[in-house]
Amino acid sequence: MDLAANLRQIRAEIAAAAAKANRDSSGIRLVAVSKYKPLAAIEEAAASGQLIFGENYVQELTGKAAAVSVPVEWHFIGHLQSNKVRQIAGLVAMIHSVDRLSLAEEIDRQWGKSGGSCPILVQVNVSGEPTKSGATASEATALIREIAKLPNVSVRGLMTMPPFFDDPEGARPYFRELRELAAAIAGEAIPGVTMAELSMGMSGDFRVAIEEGATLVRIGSAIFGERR
Amino acid sequence: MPESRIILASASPRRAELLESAGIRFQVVPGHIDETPLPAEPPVDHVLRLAAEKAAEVSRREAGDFFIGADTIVLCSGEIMGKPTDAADAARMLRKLSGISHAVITGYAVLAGNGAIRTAAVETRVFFKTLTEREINDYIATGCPMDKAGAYAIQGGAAHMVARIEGSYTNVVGLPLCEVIETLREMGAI
Repeated sequence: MDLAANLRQIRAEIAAAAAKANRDSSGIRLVAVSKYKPLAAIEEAAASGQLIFGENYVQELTGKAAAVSVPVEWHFIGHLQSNKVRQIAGLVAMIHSVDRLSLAEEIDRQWGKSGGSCPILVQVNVSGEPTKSGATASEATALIREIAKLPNVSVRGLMTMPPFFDDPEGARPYFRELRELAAAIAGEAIPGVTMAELSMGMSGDFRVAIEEGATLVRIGSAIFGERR
Repeated sequence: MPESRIILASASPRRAELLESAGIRFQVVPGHIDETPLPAEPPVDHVLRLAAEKAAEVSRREAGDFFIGADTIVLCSGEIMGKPTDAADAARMLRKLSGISHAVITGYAVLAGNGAIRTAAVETRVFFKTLTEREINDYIATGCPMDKAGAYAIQGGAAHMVARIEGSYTNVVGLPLCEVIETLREMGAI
């Protein structure tokens, strides 16, 4: 597994997808999804210029963050239990997966202890699949209005996980709907809320997601290989 | 809460002046790292990586609560312009910048003592007027271009060469102050 070559390949594909959509690729950041991957793989990717790593589990993230020897910007991208927020407070640069007010309230409490604030994305279940986390598209605006009242939480955009399709084109309508929802929410001009970030697209469908406006793509297997 | 100890991991007096102007109390400890780009490294990835590495390098040898690293490049018609190697190189860069627009990109990183890091890159578009050979030579004779990315300093002798900018002014000087202060606030540093 040549991580450096994989990263170069993905950066080139991000640039190509951005060019196809007439976008500046500097507005798209790559989140390397490192769940289940050893620290050595993270450090090897970092040596190849990768800066942002996304983790899905609190315990795994805190363990790696304590041991890593290179500067890493950590993003939390998995389902987050409120009772574990304390362990990542102040450590992660962004939480992509806020799907309920009670979780946002706990993030507000824990970040407030250090006098800081936490950039978050609201996870939206665009497809409405019952197995997926996330607020429904119709709930999202009301949820964001409530979160916006919390002083130590800063809403920066939306995240979604579309249903799985063999053909990445299948995911396009869900990415488009997220972008349109973000535009609608931005139009509400809720104080303190920006819709600058759209976290969408993974190894199989990030090119389509970029064409539909993704600013953060979460890529694991195309960098680190399939899980063994 | 006791005041945080903030360290600016940059040798640039311009970055220090900007931070001072915002009323931030900090120490300057320049970071020393290998600034060679990685193979096929995109410009934004490059400035962000260098910013993070500068902050991390200083954090390994200095006690502090927050470390600020930054790196600025000038991007003109596909060329990444660093500091000129000599007067002839400075003249070449200024001739290329003359009459067109270019991008100034600064990446910054704020690293906390617990290892938490936040990074961002800010881009400003700068429009140069058409320069005469005499203007270029006079400016190079001041010595000012030699330690500046793209061979000019917007706040110095090159101010009259800039017709207009789109975006952050302080970003062109070397540190996007509005964004950096916001990040420091969000991390509880100030």
